[in-house]
Order: sequence, then structure tokens, then C-alpha cells
Amino acid sequence: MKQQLSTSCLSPYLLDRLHLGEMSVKEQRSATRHLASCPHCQAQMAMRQAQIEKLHQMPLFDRLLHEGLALPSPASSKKPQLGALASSAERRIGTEERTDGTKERRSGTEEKKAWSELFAFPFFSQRWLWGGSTLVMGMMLLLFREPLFSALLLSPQTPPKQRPILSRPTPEPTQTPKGDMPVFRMLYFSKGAQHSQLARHGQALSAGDLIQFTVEHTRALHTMILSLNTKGVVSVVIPFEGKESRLLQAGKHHLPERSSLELDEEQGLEAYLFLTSATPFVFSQAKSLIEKAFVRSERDLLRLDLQALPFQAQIFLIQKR
Amino acid sequence: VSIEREQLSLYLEVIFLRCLRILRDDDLAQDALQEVFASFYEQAKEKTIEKPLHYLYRSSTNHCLNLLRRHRRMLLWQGEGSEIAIESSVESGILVEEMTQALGEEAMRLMIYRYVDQMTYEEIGEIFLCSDRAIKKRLDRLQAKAQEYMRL
Repeated sequence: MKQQLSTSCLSPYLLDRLHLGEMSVKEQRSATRHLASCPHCQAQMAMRQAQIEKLHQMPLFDRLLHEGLALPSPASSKKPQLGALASSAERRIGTEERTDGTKERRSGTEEKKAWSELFAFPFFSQRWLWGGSTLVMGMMLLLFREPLFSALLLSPQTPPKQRPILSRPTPEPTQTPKGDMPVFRMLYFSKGAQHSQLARHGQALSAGDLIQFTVEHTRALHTMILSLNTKGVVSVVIPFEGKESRLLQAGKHHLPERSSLELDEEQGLEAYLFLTSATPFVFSQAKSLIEKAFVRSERDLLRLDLQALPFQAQIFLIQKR
Repeated sequence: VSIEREQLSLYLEVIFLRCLRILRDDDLAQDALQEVFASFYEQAKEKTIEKPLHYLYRSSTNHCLNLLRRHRRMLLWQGEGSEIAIESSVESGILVEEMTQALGEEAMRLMIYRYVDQMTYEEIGEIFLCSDRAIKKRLDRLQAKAQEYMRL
């Protein structure tokens, strides 16, 4: 029995991971390269796309989507571990999370119940250990009363983050950024569609489709998004109005903020290049470096390597049809 | 535009495609998708699911196997995974109900991962939480058993 059922073509499982964007950058690049040259895999992708379109027309799809989005944030049902005492105690005793993301103080009875749950360790059910445990608890309270009480009772002012029902896929080691690499995504809206969708690496898009980008990072960064076509033409996409990188504060941003961009009619592969840097930079500087990199890659977008650039650079390919 | 909505939408698409791959029937795939996500949402109320794809793969495998048994359908797969079939035809298939009785539930799940999803031993090991060597051993044993069963 062979280890790999098909040595070159992508398995349905890999196509699923590619679809979800769960591949490492290296895997994704290799998969996209293979897809660009393999008629069998292209046919598979076309078939998948047709089936997905069929799914989108089913009322079941919208219903399941809405049910999922209406779910409350998951609540931990585990008993607290000693190491996580303070954080879980804050969650269990002082406050309770509402579905709208705000916190609510619990009533006295509920609070007592939560305390009793908190101490529901087998250790406390052993009466012969009560003397010692009372002494230890007393000492703990004396030692930690200030921070403990402020953490448990006085800090529910800051609203908690809404937890997504799906945890983001854990990046694979090759994807793991050193420091805080920004996360870029591309959304597109096709004519006649009910809502926008997350574009995948290698996504086929049509002229007239609307696109928008999102970027998330943990510190302020100078950002620029450029496009590069197969002819080697570099154009600035964001900031639309200027030729200098735009400083974005830490957090999540939509680019453009309140609008979208329409894809032109030029067909073929196109790369979107997400550039970020701690210091400002200008379009002409980035353009010249990218053009050189394009020549080094033998004018092949699939082989484009921007690692030598003085910015953090991420490449996202689309197929315009 | 909400990213969470987009992510959920992608998972729905992937699992629908997978159910279609196993069931080869639009209506059954819809039934499976509904069952898989109903149980997924129940779980999601309780806790954050760390590896949604693995969870959804496991769940859809079980639901699809139940549907195949209930409707007495064949489990089919394409060409290269046809070592289990006696004839190396382009498309191979087995009647799930009989095969489950002969080889067991776990064997059927392994066959789906290996021959329908065409996963490597390592990828299957990640879902079964065991090593690729252990998966290979199990699949080798399963192959021998299946061939013996098919000759009877």
C-alpha cells in the first residue's frame, strides 16, 4: 500500500484544508502552483465550486449559518484547576457574561453557589482535612486579599471579548509568525450573491466583483496593499488616495473602510501584496523592489519571493476571469 | 462583513462537499450536513472546539456511515484506493452494512479517511490521535481482512 495515494494531485482532504485556509504558506504555495498546471485538479476545483454554488442556493445553508451565528458564547463546564484559580474565579464568581458581550453581577445566592462550586474539589469533601485546609485558605486570603478581591469583585468594568464559536485554526509551525505578523484577508462579493465571502488563495474572481481587505495586527504598522499582474505592472491598491504607506493602529481594520473595490476586466493571474513596516515607506520604493523580485522570479507570479524585501510582505493570488 | 460568518460558511461548504463525497447523493448530503451541524452547535454551546475540521470530519463520518447503512447504500471511492476491492476497477465500492458487520465500525471510518478523503497515515493519525505507524498497521490488517471477506 502506498503512503501517498496520489503523489502529485491534491487529495480531497488537502483541497478541504486549502479551502479553509488551514495550510501553511509553503503548502499553500505548492498547492496553488500544482493547481495552476494540473487539468485534473482544476476539474476537481470546478466541480467543488459548482457543488458549493448549489449549497448556497439551498435554504438549509442560510438556516445553518444563522443558527451558528446566533449561538451564545461557549461557557466552560470544567471545574477550575488550582493553577487557574484566579482567572476562573473571576469568570465564575464576580461576573457573568451576557450574550451581548457585557458583564452582569450575579445575585448573592448565585454567587454563593458559584463559590461552593469553586470549592467542589474532592479535597474539601474529606472532613479530616478541614482543619489544615481552613488554615491554608486563611493564609492565602491574608496574603492575596488585595489583588484577589480586586480581581474577583471590582474589575468587571472592562467588557469581555465575545468568543467565537469556532476557534481559529492553529497556524502550523511554518506559518507561525515571529513576533506579531499581521493577518490579512480578502473578501469578495459577486453579483447576485447574497453575502460576501472570504477569498481563498488562488480564488477565481470575475470582472465587476467587489473586493475588500481586512487586516489585524497587535501594534501600529505602516501598511500598503499593491497589486502585481503577470505583465509585471505594479499598482497601488491601498491607500487609494496616496503614494505613502498608511499608519494603522493595532486592531482590526477594513480596507477600504466603508467601501469596496471593483475588479477590472483584465484577465489572468494577479497577486495582491500586503506590505507592512514599523517605519513609513513610499510606493516608488516598494514598486522598484517588487519589480526586481518579479524579474528574479523569472516573471512568474507563482514563484515570486518577497522575503528579501525590507518590509513584511505577504502574497495573495487571485485568478481573474 | 463578519469574519466569523465567513469562517462558518467555509466549514459548511467543506462538510457539505465531504458528505457528498461519501454519500454521492444531494439529499442525503443535506441530511448529513444538518445532523452534523446540529451536534456541532450543541457542542459549541458548551466549549470552544479547538480543531473544528477534525471534529467535523469525525462527526460527518459517523453520520454519513449511519445514513449509508440506513439506506443500504454502497460506499464508493475512486481508483487508487482500490486495493481492498478484488478487481482493480476505476471505482470501487462496498455495501456498508455488511462490511461493518464483518470488519467493525472503526474499520469503516478508517476506510473513509484513507480511500475517500485520500488522507496520508499521518493525517489520519492526527484525527485518531495515534501515530502514522499505528494507522498503517491497522490499515494493513484491515486490507487483509477485507480481501479475505470479499473472497468468501
